[in-house]
Amino acid sequence: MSSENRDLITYEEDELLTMSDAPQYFFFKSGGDIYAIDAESVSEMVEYQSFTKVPMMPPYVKGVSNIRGEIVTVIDLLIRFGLGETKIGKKTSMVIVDKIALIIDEVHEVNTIASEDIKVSLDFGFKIDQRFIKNMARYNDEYIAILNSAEILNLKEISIVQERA
Amino acid sequence: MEEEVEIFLEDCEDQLGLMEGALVSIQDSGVDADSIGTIFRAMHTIKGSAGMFGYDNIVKFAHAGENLLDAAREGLIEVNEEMVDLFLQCKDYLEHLIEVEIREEEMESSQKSLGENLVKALISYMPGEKPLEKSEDLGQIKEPSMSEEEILRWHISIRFHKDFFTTGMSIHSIFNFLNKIGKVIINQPILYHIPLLEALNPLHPYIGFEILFEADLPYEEIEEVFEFIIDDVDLMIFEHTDEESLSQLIASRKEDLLSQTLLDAQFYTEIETVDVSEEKTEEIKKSLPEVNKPEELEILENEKTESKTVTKSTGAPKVSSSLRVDATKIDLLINYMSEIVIANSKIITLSEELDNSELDEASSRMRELLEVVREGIMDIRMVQVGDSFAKFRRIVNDTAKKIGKNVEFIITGGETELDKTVVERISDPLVHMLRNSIDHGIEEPSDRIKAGKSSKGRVDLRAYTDSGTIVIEIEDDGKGLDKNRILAKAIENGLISSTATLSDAEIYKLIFEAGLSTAEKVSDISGRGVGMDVVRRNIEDLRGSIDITSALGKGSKITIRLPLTLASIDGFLVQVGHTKYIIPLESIQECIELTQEELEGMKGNEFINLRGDMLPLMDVRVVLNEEKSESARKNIVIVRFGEKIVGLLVDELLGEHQTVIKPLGDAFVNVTGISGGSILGSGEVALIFDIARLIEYKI
Repeated sequence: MSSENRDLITYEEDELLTMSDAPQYFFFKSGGDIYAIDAESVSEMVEYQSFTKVPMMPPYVKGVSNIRGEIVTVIDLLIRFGLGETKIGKKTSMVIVDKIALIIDEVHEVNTIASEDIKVSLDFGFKIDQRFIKNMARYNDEYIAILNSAEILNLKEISIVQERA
Repeated sequence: MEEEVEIFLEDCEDQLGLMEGALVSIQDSGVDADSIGTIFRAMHTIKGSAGMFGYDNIVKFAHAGENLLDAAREGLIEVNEEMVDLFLQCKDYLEHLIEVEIREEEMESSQKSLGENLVKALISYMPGEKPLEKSEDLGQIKEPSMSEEEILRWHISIRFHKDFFTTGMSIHSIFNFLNKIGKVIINQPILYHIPLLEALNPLHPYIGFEILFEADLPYEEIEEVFEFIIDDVDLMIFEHTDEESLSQLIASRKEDLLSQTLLDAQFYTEIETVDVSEEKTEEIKKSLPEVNKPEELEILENEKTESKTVTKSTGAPKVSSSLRVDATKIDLLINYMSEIVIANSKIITLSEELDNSELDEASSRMRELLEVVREGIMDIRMVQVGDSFAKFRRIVNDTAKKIGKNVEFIITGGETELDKTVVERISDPLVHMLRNSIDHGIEEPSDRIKAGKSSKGRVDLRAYTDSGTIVIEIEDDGKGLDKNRILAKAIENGLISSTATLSDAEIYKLIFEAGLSTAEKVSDISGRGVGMDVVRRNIEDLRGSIDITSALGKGSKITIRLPLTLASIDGFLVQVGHTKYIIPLESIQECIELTQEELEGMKGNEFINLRGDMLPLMDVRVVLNEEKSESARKNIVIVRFGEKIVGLLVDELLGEHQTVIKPLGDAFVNVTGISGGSILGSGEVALIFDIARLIEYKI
């Protein structure tokens, strides 16, 4: 009993430490690659669900979907990166950031990244556009991109309607 | 802002509105007692509530106004045009003063001197008898001096209901205000009701007060100090010399030590120990029937024995038929209501699938009831447009005066109801258009006479409902719009090409484009070419439309059509490609099927012959880039907007749908023809057509 209690306490302290120490990141897969995004910007994650197409929008803006009674914009992250379309499978999910649902392959985990593992992004050399990347980070011995959600969800850009063909 | 301050501000705004309305009505149709009374009461209420909140500067200023108004009400002075102007200025100043006080800022010195001058002006109108004394009033509202023997002394006895503090009022401010209008001579706290510590609820005011108050004021004015809390206290006010009331007080309070306390506190040198029993009190009450004296009291049994509720029967209790509710509460309710409607349509869909007649019946009944509740909630948001229209009177009068025009302003249909949000958002555009009408529409008096019109121009503001929309019209009998000038200007500014052929309506509509002002000289009222485009934008944002007709030399009429409410519409659900769309029911004229013969008869054109008329068709799939669907039959939904009639080619008609409008999101602001989304019973999102934009886009 008492040892259990102690475990509980240390666990809670651990939680507190991580919470106050380093920012949390949300790791996920898109197009087979792992990306990270600032966990604070993520309001929730839901299973992939169907959406209503909205005409005249750029290809990566798939449409709108009803998430808990709210209409959210659905964006295919992979098309946004210019890397093809996300294949819909069992693990396909949606990450909600700023009332916009990003379609991703699968949810990975929520974790911290030690500050010494965060590196300034290269000027070029990564397959997605430099402006979508906030920083690079070492994660499980590989370099992954920490995404710049403000740029990915840049309303000025995504609200440009496509003229009729 | 703290809640109670907000209430104070709202109250002041209401009162200032009433004041202005009455003043403008005097300007228009001469002095009448009702208007003077309204202005007086408004001024008085502002003074009273400002006093409760300790805004001394407001009290001082309002007091000066109130004095003059009181004199006018008593018929001691005649209200003339100059005075009305003065009161209008005072109203504006008061508005500014209230803002400054609430923000706890320092008044700019120019404004300060304006205020002083206004007070001086107010005093200058006071009846000659005692202008000096009154002016002292203003500076330092009554500094009562002990030496003056004729000053009245009042005994005020107050006990607080246990939830008094929830009113947000402080006991301190009562004393503050009392000391402002008179002088508290003795203040004896009554502590008998304070329980033992373990039983003490720190949120309850156990304390009471016996106050000896000196002020040369009538009973009513003292009672008004407590106006805002009268329902939350047990209050007795009577003249110090009134022994009968004192006996009643002692009897009704049921506090054994009260008379001793009063003696100890030197309220009285002796108190006749009258043992007033319950019956006796009754007798006393009966013996004082209908005497309009402050002593008249009505004693009611309280359910608790701790104290008695003493209500005064004179000074009729305010029976308020309206309730001030925070708008966000209603919005929240509407949101939930929307959710329920959506949830219920899911049940209806399910019951149809299950083919269960009882469930069907129950869910249909539910739908009917929900509709009633929904309408009821929506109705709370509805306000009469008249109140906000009345404010325009002043603007019209001021504008006309400023530019030397003579304008009669007529409002009709003020009782028409409209969603409060719509009313608020329509206000600025209307002001703008009214100013335009006066500035550009109505001619100079001399020009009017030359044109054979009366020198007085006429501007009409009308509101009425028409098939699910509200129509607001602004009509003037001025010089009308000059088509050629507008056309020339539009070509000059590159809005249209010089070869374009436009209908009259299209030419008039150009005045709503940015950067088109035909005014020869730019005045500070209008004519800068910004505004009309903003007006149109504002109205379209409310899902409304704006049209203009005009006859040269005779006048112009602007017609605004607005939806009655913003939150929901009756819609008609159609399928186009893979997407479901909702067409607002009010814009649908009829639905027909596109037959094979008709299709062939079109010969590649985009119109059909509908009962002898040409009906242009719009293939929604093509316009919106939807994929082809397999539906063999084509349906045409004929929609009308203003004068335009268009047939929308859709794949399938799915029936009526009670549509709760939700915003689609900022990503879709540039999508023309779609105004929002709605969640269907299946959880799917349908897109709502904005017919006006859709038609415009096509053209």
